[in-house]
Amino acid sequence: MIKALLSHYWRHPWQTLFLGIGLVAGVALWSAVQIINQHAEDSYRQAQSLLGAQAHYWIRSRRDEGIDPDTYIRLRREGFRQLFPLIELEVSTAQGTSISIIATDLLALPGDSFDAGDSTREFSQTWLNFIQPPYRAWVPAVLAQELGLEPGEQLELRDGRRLPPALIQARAQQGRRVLMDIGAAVALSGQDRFSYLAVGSIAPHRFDLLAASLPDHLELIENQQHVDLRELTQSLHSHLTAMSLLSFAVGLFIVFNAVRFSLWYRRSTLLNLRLMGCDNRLLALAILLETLVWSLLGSGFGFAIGVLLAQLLLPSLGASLQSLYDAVVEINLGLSPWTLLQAWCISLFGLLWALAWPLYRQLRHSSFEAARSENLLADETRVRHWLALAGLLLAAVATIAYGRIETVTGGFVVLGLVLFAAAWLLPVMLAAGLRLLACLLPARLLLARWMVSDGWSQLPAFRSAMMALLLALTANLGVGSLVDSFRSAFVGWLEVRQSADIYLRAPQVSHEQLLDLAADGNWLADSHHRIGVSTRWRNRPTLVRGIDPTAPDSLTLPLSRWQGDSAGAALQSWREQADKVLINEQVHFLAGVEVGDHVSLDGDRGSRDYEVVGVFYDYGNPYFQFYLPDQVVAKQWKHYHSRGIALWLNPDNEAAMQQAEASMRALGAQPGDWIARAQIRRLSVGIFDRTFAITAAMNLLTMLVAAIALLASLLAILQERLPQFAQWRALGLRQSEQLLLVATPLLIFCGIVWLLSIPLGALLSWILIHKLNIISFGWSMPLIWEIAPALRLALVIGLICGLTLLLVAFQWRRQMPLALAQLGETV
Amino acid sequence: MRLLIATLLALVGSSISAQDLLGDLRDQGLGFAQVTPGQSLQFPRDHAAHPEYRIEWWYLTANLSDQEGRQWGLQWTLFRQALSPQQVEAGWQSNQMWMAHAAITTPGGHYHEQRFARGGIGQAGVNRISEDGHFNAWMDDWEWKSTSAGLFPASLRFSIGEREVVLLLESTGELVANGIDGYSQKSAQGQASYYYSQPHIRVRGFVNQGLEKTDLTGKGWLDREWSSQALADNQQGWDWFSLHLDDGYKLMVYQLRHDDGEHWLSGNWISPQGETRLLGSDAINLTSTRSVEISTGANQSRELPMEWKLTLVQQKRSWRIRPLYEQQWMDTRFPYWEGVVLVEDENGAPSGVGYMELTGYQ
Amino acid sequence: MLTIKNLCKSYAFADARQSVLQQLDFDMEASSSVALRGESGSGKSTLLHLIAGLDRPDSGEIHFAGHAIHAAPESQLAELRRSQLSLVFQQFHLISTLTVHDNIRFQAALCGRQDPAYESELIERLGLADQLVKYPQQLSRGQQQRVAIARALLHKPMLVLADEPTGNLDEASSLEVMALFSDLVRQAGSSLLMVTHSRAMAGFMDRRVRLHNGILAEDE
Repeated sequence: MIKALLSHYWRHPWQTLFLGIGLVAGVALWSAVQIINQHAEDSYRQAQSLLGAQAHYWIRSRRDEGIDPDTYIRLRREGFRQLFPLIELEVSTAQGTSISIIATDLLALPGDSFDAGDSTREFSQTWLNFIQPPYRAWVPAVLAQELGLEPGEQLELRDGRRLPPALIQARAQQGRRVLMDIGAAVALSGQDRFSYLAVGSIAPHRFDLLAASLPDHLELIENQQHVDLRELTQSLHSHLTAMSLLSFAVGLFIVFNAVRFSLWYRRSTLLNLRLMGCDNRLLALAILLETLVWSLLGSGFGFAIGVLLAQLLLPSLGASLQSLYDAVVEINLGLSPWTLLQAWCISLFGLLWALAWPLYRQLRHSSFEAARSENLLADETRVRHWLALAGLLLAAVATIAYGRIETVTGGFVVLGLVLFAAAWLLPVMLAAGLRLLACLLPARLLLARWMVSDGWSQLPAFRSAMMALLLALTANLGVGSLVDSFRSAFVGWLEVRQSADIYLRAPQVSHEQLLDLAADGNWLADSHHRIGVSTRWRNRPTLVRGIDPTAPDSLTLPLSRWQGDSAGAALQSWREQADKVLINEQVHFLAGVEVGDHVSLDGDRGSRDYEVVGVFYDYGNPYFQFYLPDQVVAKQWKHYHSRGIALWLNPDNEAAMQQAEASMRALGAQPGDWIARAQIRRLSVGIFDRTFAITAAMNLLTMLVAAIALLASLLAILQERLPQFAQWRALGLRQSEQLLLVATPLLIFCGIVWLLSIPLGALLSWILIHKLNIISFGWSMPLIWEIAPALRLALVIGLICGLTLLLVAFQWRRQMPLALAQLGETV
Repeated sequence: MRLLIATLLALVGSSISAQDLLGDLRDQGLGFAQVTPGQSLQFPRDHAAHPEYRIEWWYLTANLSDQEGRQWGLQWTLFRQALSPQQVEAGWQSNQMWMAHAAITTPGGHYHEQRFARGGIGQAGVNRISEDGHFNAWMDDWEWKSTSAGLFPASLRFSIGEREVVLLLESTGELVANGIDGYSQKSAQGQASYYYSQPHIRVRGFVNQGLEKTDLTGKGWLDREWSSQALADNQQGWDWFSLHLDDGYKLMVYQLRHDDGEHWLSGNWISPQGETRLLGSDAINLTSTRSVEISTGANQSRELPMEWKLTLVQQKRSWRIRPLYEQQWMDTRFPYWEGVVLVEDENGAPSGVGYMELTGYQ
Repeated sequence: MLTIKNLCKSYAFADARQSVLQQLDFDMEASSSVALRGESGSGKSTLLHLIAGLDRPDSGEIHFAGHAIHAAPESQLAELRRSQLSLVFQQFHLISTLTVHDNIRFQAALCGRQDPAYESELIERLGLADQLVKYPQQLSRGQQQRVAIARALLHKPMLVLADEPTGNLDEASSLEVMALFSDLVRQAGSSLLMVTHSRAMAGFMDRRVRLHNGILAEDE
């Protein structure tokens, strides 16, 4: 009996393939994201470790001046062997790619962490090479590939320096960074101070001793990264999950479609089986078994492809997480059987809904319904109306829920409601479109009217494929517009915010010295020394910045909201009164602070209240940020860091850049300590684009799945209606006319779907930008809507249609002769 | 002849198996300073490091007893290695590498710890005598600190996990040069080291284990050795003994095991007055009388000779040597057995204590 | 108008080829009508298909209106079918998404022949005037067959091929439809080759032939 049921799949390999592809594609996209999210989460959990050693605390200079090696040796000799030194450097390659370097003394890593990342217990030549000149730069394989770096090659930096010979190797928690010996980093940077010390697992009494042993200018900070990272990146991962669920849904539409087809063909089989005495219970069991087999196949292959996909997507996501959140994501993928189990559950659930349930319904009705095929059109109308009703209901729920969105998940639920409401309303819209066109066509164009009216026959088969297409198009346009809006807001903001020509970050160079030196030449037009304090506010990492209120970039600070009549007036009151503060949008949206509110900030000299007079844009920053005049910060905080000096060059002096560089070098800054505006912009935009690379990839894949749905539907139509087509051939229809007959409704449907996707995409990006983005990341931006992406998509749809029609024509050539010969035979 | 040669030379090897590591030990040490006969040792100069030689160690063992008369043992070693013949001592680029081992044999069990550090940054080292006039050898908070330019009197502090050890060390006799005036030959092919010992050390101190403090007294033995090459091609490993006999004599014996069974034996017979007698292969008769399967980790074990019969032909004396207990395995990067042994005379009467080291057994 | 020579056609069944038509010869005059009878499976429908170019013969020749059907390319066959041939089947094969009126005009529209007067007459005579705005599935079977007949005749083809056109109707309406059909064919000046089981139906034709063992013979 099972054989009889399943024989359908052998006889229609195309549809079997489509069912498989739909399921596998859906599961693959879903599990790829799941694997990536899981993997990232695992990496965050490891944030209490660094390079395979535990790092529960950091020891940092309060003034960001680094740590003297003598202090480190003294602490080691006092028995604090949990300490190990780290140097972090940012360098640019000759090609302008920014890379992070992390350096440590592997021999000093506490405890057994020694072994982490090494397969053998022994030291090896690898280690000796690592710690001895000319040293080695351990480069993770993915990074090496991106940089085109061969083993043994010495990567050239922008300023001509070279990294040690490359070894394609990585330690735990190295992420996308280049690891080298601390001796190598000292040689490379020309300064021997450590960026910070990490403290491994330490007993409470030893911790107290350590705290007491630290000199005044150093502070012991708990490593809360694992908590922070999870919180900061949560939104990003929710976004990805939502996109993957959408892909899964689109995949399910294909399954649904294939099942509809299989029902059509198995009606008689089911009827025969029942007539032969199989009872319903047995048949239900068989159907369940079929579902189980499909779910196993789907989740197995889907997961495998998902793993490959995740491997492809991980590097760029890892890079983004590192540059945006300082989150080190392991480059090598770890897989958990739990994810596989989840993949199986979700595919089983999807199949129960899309395969088992329709089959079961068919089974219960097959005895009397089989004969009433002429009622199909009426049935179809009923289904359409029910769907529309359900769609309207969803839309109503979405409208009500829209005002109440408070969490990221809630936002995505509303998005899902909107999308599915649209999808379920689609059949009615398609029908309306057909009706409208039929009215518009003059009566004498009989053939044209016929081709349009044939849409009614194709509509049932296309229903789910068109819904899938609508979802894919809408997502594509909506997310595309989100990214475009963000990009343009971001680039515009960079233009205003990063207006200085050079940004110098070198603790050894003081602002005064630089000004003294600049006074002799005429290269410097203006400068801005910014100071800051890293702290926590409402338990989130927070920056309090002291900025010079009269510096050029402070005067033009772009505000999104302000107190009083104008942004200028708000800035002026902030400049002139010591109890005013500017907050970033993140503080406004995520912590709910309004203009006019008072916030309390804890300084070294006690806590103080400030009145919020303005909110500034702060794109890409996951942290809270407060701007105070530098005088106020210097007064309220004993220990503040220099956050670098911004330099505006004299535009009339052509040699200003060279003179500036010479001056900075003269004061002890190394090339790499400063960065020019053009470069910072290139880097920022690079990071931005990389962040959204995964979005683009997911969009593309979802489109692909929708294209497959389209193809599957067309081929199903071909199979179902072949006898009909043969009849029309007998009436003298030309092959081209016949193709037109199939193409016309297809193009009409696709056209309607495309037209609908434009406003729907706009709605989607509206919700994404005005609700989700604000809840997730805490920043706002104007929505930018352009027609070009929609036109591009129209072209893509046209291509997909053309391709599928070509395939249909090819199939016809093969199958039509037999269909013609069988014409007139009684069924 | 101590194990650390192997351990630290393992650093140089790219190979993994112990056999291969021993192969590296056989390296001729080209480019490093070579050990030659006829060079007399000079003190305090030679207490300090010899960075131009490839390997070197400061190696203390002590047989101690608590107030209840129970046997304890301690071992503390600082090992230096030069990674390249070029002499770069200071700074991060230093070619000097340091390793330290410590082990404690208590009535409750055997514990050990190992540490590593690079030279040149002050984290570990043995200071030049000229710097402040006091001998000082350290790694992190483990430290041998003398009150003079010589090795003694000194304090030694180290810890093994949460166990803290504080010792006062005083010499009660002269330093002893092994081999011929400190030139200790290791094979017929010419492998050799500079090797001197201080077998006469009075040890007092205590061990803190949590809240429990145990006062200990006893005898110590210090070995100083440096070289640029160690094993000959046909040598598999060694068995080494340092014994404090109850009659006041001290005895050091080692056997370098050869593939063909013709082992290289050498020793030093030291009278209570400090007179030494170099013992050659003919003068020593060393045979293992019982082998035992020792657990060396999870599901792993090795068969090791646990009991020995040692005879000095000329002195017409013979002893039976057995461990205080068998589980004194050092599960370090280059694992080996080292621990407290008890010495009995021919009649089975206790006649001394000492340390035994067994390496190269698979 | 229609000449068939040495026509052979066989089909592959399970493991053997079964010959259906064996060196069949047949001629048909313009404006004549022929009833084709024979047992079930004797190859009547096959012959009809071969004449319409829906299937290809193994060997032999079919000439129709100056065209070599057996060798004509598919495009030429399509042109012939739309302008010179009509097929009427037992299942009517009406287009469910078009009105009765559109169905009637369908083939005429295909070949671009418009004759409003004849169209009205056909509709009138077939009694379909009240049904024009309905959809085929809203009609009775007899009415549906009338629509199929109207569609087959409106463009006045040279030859109408009918395969048991009344097989789906009860006897009374069969006779009525058949009488009308043969009359209309004659009036249109077309020829009619009709496959039928029924002696009564065959009676409406000028000539009757019987297909037996792959060969045609005149039938009484």
